[in-house]
Amino acid sequence: MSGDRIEVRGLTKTYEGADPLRPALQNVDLEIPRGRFVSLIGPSGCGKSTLLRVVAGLEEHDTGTVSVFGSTPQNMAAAKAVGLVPQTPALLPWLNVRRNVSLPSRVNRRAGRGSEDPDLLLRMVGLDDSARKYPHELSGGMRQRVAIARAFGIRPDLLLMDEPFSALDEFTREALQLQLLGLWERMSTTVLFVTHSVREAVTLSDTVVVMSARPGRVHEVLHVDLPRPRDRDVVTGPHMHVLEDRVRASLQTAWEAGAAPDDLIPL
Amino acid sequence: MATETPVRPRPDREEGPGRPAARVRRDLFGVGLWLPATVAVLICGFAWTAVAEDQPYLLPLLPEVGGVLVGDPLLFLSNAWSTLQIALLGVGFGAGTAFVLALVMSEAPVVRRAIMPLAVVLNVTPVVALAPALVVAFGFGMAPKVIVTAIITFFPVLINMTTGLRSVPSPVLHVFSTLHASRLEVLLRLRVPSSLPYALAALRVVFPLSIVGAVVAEFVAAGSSSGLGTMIRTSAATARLEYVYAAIACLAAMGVLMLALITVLERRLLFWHESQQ
Amino acid sequence: MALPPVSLPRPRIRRIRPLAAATLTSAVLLATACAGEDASEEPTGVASVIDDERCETNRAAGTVTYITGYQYQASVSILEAVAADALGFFDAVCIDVEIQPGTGDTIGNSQLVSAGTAHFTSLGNEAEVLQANDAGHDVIGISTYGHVPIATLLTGTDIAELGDLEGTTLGHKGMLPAPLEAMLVADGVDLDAVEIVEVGYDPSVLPRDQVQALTGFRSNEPFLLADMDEEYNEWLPEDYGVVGSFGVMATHPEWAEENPTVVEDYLRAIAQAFSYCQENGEECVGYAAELAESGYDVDHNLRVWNAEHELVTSSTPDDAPPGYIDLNLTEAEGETLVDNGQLDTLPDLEPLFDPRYLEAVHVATEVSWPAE
Repeated sequence: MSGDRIEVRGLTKTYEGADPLRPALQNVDLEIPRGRFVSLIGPSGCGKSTLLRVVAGLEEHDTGTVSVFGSTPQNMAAAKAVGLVPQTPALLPWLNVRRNVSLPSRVNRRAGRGSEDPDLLLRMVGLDDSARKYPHELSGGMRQRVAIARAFGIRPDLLLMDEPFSALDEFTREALQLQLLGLWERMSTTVLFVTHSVREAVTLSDTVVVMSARPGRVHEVLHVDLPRPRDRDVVTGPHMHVLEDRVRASLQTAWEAGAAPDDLIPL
Repeated sequence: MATETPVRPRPDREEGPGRPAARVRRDLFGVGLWLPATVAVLICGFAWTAVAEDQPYLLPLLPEVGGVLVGDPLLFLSNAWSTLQIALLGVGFGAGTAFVLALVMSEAPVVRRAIMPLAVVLNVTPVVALAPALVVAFGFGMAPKVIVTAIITFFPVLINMTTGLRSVPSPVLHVFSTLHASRLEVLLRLRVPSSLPYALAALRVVFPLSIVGAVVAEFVAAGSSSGLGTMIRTSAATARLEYVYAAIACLAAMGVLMLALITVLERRLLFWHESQQ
Repeated sequence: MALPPVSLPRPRIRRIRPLAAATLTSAVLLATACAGEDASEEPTGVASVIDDERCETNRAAGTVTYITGYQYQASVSILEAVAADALGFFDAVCIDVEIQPGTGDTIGNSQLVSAGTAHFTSLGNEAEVLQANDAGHDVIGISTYGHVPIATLLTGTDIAELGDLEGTTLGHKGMLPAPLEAMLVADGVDLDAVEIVEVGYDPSVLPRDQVQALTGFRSNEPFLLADMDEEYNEWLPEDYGVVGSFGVMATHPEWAEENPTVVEDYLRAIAQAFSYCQENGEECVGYAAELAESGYDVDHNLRVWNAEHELVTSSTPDDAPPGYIDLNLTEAEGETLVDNGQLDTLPDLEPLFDPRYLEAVHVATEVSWPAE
């Protein structure tokens, strides 16, 4: 249990009422050093979102250990050291953008290590002139940026992101990816990022963890040795394509390694 | 900054306090609202007059109804005020109790399991059976009538609020969970604002219903002879139909007023909700 | 498309303003509600008609509540109480009477008397005393003013005898009154051959021939039909030997035992008011009109009073005071209820009616009102 990484050992979780032979997560081992950007990718049912939720302290696990920088997920949450960006922006519609971003600093005031200035955060995501707008007046991309700014607000040790850009169109997605990287490099935190886009995983991460389904487990861990900061030249370069192919190949075998889902018609 | 997708076309928001008031005024008094209603009312008026002329003891002629209203406006105003007081106190008491009870029930399932069956029984009990017991307990004043009205307006608010307090999307709950927000914080910052659309939807139902409740209360609870409900009863018994329908007209006006009140309240409090977009 | 309002830095303030307004309004309403009903009347200048000791005893009983049979309708037993209060007769016997209007639910009223929330109430007839006790309410009848049934049956002029009603429709307002059912049975009408339906308050259903017979009160519907210039036949139960009553004053037996002077003097004041209102009907109806807050049809109520007090006089024998109780008549009336199934058995009538209070304040047939 060291304080400089996230350690997952032998993690198993079965959902109630599900097939015990096919747990959502089975014997998952994972190590994430502090300050890294790690993506989880895999076919549906591989447990990537479940793993994220366990690390967040939102779900219990059956066996195994989870240690986040020497602490349990629950203690991390109690210390307000975890930021979460869920799949939908999950903003409070009755608060304006600025109040949404500053919300975490007003909740559970006793914990936490101080908060960023909300106006600064909004400037960093390019929404400073929307500070007084309400979520229903924003586009999907703008809302997701607010959610990201909100997550960074408490200066989290760990940032968990669950397919935050999956509902956006391609160009918005790419723009937000680069913006996120810019934020991450300035604010410096550890990121665990769930995605189903190969391109996105390679663009963003230091490490891509490929998972397979039924039961959910780690299939392969791939390192992304693209230079940082990653600008447009890097992400359109040849090495990028090589890495993407490698990840795609891994995904293919992961797909085959998993048992067929019950709802698929056999080809 | 990279390019972003075009924002959905929305007109620029203007600063200044005039806009929302102007919008509400325009919507409440705009021609689009009043013209269809006026036409419908006129058609009803013609149908009414046709029946009233043929059968004067079924419906009074509209000029007669207008005549008693204009002839003794103070009588109708004072009785309308009496009924309105009971309606407002009743709905305040009933909705307020339902609100508090829903909060408690959402946090303590054991309370919900204990209270819900009682609430259902209370809802289906005819208030006429409860009225004498209420008079015995609370005397001959306003209290039994307020309680009857409160009982009638209690249940819809309770049900709606219970649902509303539980309808926070789980991603938002997850965010609050990772912040280790206390149950009280989740309740006050998340659940209560989320339940506001449901609460106001219930109030839309029970505000006009409170008028009906007050009238029923006047029918069944002894003590105090003022109120439009009493007027309807005594006038009906002596076949003075013009008073009956004049009182009904007053009740209708009160109902419309109550509904307008809630609509204005909704616009102000729920500006962020889909229902107001 | 709706425009959102300007967002103030603290939306909570915006919500507080309507909240403050609502709180203020509620406070005002509550204050009005608690401001109380009518202030008690100042004592009039009428001299006391009873001695000081008795006066003290009566005052010691505190506020005495009378709940009327139906609002402030000028019916016998209701109007006298209203007039007695207005004319100061209650003050003259040192009783502080509070008159509350009833909703017409006379069995509900007996429940209030039984619970002690009210002390006196008017019941529709003696049969209701039996029914109230059957329902577990603790009430006794202390005076019965009318000794004929108040219910009447109205038909069109084409009905020559009650048997003609077979195969037609009869309308009532909740249930077929026992005296009318007894009347039809006494005349040999097959009730199964008559379609019995519930109708509303509108008596014009009869002239419009929607029903061929209509139940009503002798003091009400006949006048309404006459106002409509409609002709009708009226069928009176007493013509067929059916016994009935109306205008019954009831009270709580134990409370009456503890406060006999109050009960006696209450009936004394009522009786005095009865005599007065016989001569001054319009004045007495005026007092009732003052109490009614939601409109009062003075003409109609004057007709009700006149019809009813004349029936009281005509149904009271010369050797009895108004309000006398004859248990033989009560028994006959009770049998009617048993016959049509509203009562299982006839109870013992002695404990349910107590004429001693009335007798105590009457000398021969006149009320004992010493100041005169």
